[in-house]
Amino acid sequence: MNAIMSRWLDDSRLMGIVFLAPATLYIVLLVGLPFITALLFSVSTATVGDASFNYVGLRNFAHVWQTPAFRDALVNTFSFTVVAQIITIVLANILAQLLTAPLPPRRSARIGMWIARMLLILPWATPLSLSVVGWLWMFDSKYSPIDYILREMALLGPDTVWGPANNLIWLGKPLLAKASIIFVHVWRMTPLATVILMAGLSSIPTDLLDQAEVDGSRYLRTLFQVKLPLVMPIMLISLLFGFIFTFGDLTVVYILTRGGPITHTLTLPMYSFLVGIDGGNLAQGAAVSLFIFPVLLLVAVVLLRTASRAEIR
Amino acid sequence: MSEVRLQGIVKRFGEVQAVAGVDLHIDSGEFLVVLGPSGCGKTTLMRTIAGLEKPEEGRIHIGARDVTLLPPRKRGIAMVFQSYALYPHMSVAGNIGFPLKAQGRCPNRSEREQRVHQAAQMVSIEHLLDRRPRQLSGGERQRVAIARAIVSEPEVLLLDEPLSNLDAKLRAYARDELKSFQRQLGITTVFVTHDQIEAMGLGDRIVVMRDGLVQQVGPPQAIYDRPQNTFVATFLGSPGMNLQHVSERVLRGFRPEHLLPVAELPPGAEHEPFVWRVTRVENLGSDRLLYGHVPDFRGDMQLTVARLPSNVTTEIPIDTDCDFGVARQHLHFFDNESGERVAEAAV
Repeated sequence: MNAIMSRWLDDSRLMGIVFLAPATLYIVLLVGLPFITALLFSVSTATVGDASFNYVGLRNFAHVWQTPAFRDALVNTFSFTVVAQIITIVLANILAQLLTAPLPPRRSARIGMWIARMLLILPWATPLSLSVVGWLWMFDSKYSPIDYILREMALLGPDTVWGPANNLIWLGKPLLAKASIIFVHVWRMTPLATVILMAGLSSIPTDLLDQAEVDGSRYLRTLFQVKLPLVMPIMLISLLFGFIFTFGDLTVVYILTRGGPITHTLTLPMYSFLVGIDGGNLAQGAAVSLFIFPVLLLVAVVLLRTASRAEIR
Repeated sequence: MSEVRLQGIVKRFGEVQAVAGVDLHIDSGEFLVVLGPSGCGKTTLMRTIAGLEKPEEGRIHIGARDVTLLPPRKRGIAMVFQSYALYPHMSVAGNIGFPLKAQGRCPNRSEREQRVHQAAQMVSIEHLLDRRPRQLSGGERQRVAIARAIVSEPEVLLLDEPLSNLDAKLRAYARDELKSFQRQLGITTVFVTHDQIEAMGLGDRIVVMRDGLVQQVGPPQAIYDRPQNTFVATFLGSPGMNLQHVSERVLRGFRPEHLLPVAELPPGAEHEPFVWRVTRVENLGSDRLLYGHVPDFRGDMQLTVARLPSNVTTEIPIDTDCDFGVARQHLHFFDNESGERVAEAAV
């Protein structure tokens, strides 16, 4: 018995299969099957009430493409993602610089830095749906704390710059609603990007930074010509993560605006959900969601290739 | 080309005193080697000269200027790190040109390219200008680092163990090249190393450091011939000086190459007889190293080493009393407590 066991355990092919099986199963069942189902649905007439398969070719895609709401969703998805990523990467760079700055040799300074770093990671550690509900209250049309603060600062209310209304109604006006969505995405992604950049920055050999100083380089030149080029590959990875998370995100839009007002904050995942689940038209919902896939694939390939080319060593 | 003066430099890291009060005068155009074991404060001293560390006490002058509080870029220095610290994302030309751009001293692009070319030419790497650092060998990287250091025509060149990443064969060659290069430029140079052969071979003068303090300063041969204390005596030379207790208060020292069979001692010179038993012989080709134990004045056995050049062919029997001797002029005496050198008359 023992002899058989040990022969199995020594068989690297068998053990390889055993160890890979859970991950493979996980991917096949939770990613592969839904993806294939979506592919099949998108070329059929399936609805929530009738999942029978009638092949209709690319008619669903053509139809979806001509819908104005879909066009809005497409533009919004791209613009939210791009704007959020730009703001995130700038903020994350600033934060990472601050949080890796040399400290005065005092205990209090070290404790302070530790607290700052811990606070930074909190938005990432909180479950997204919970924190977005928090933001829903922050942006509340009547009781928004932001509005309250603005009113107390005499910036909002009768006879003020942003008055005379007592509330900005964040999620009810097209531009503010878009800004709110982008803001929450930035708030959500910045911690991860910062942590990734901090890891990148602290992996730069101190000799290189000392050398830059001896060579006469000042802060900004060292930042843009030495530090940033060296963390570029890792920064691209963080961008890739951010892009994929934001592009495919449903939670933020679903909880905050459900795509409104009208279609001003509609995104592809949200539209797919509205058409496919709420509207019951599984076929067209699947077609909408499949528009996301090639975009993400392309972004992933481009970024990974750029990252590997920019590799330092 | 400027002289460098250090006065009472103290640098602490928390409780630790890395540099514990160093006074030093480096002449214009001099090649000064700072030698010491790791952790003796030599690198910290160099970083203090560079301006990468601010001393807690003391002043630093380069030429007529007090640079104590100036940042590195205003000191007129250049530095080569042990790792060479080449910017991996820039070409060789980009690396060499970086100080010119950073110091804004050479805004004209074609002039900058010309100076990069000149610097590269001086260390014979013009053909590598388009390469990336990762495509270079260790020796080539070292040359790039040196070209980058000299391109801005610094007053003082600081070198932190720049040869330690080269293999042994290349190192001897690089040493020779570095020395003639420095002579040619006549640039004031501070070279930090823990390798006494490098120190002896390169330095116009050597500074021996230990525990953040200067132990001795002088030309290599003078330090070797008249070490100021037991630390210098045993740190320089390979193997280091033999030390023996001759009384409660006094240590007697002599170099391994001065302990010779009586027949081989220079004729006519007065010598101290030395009878010992050799327990082991190491043949190194050019030399023979003899190891044995000799009793001190208390009768405790002390390890002693002799080095015979290969032209001394005398047969050395193992574990048999042999008649050796040391010429009296080659004996050194040190105070047992302080380790400081004392005159023979004091014995």
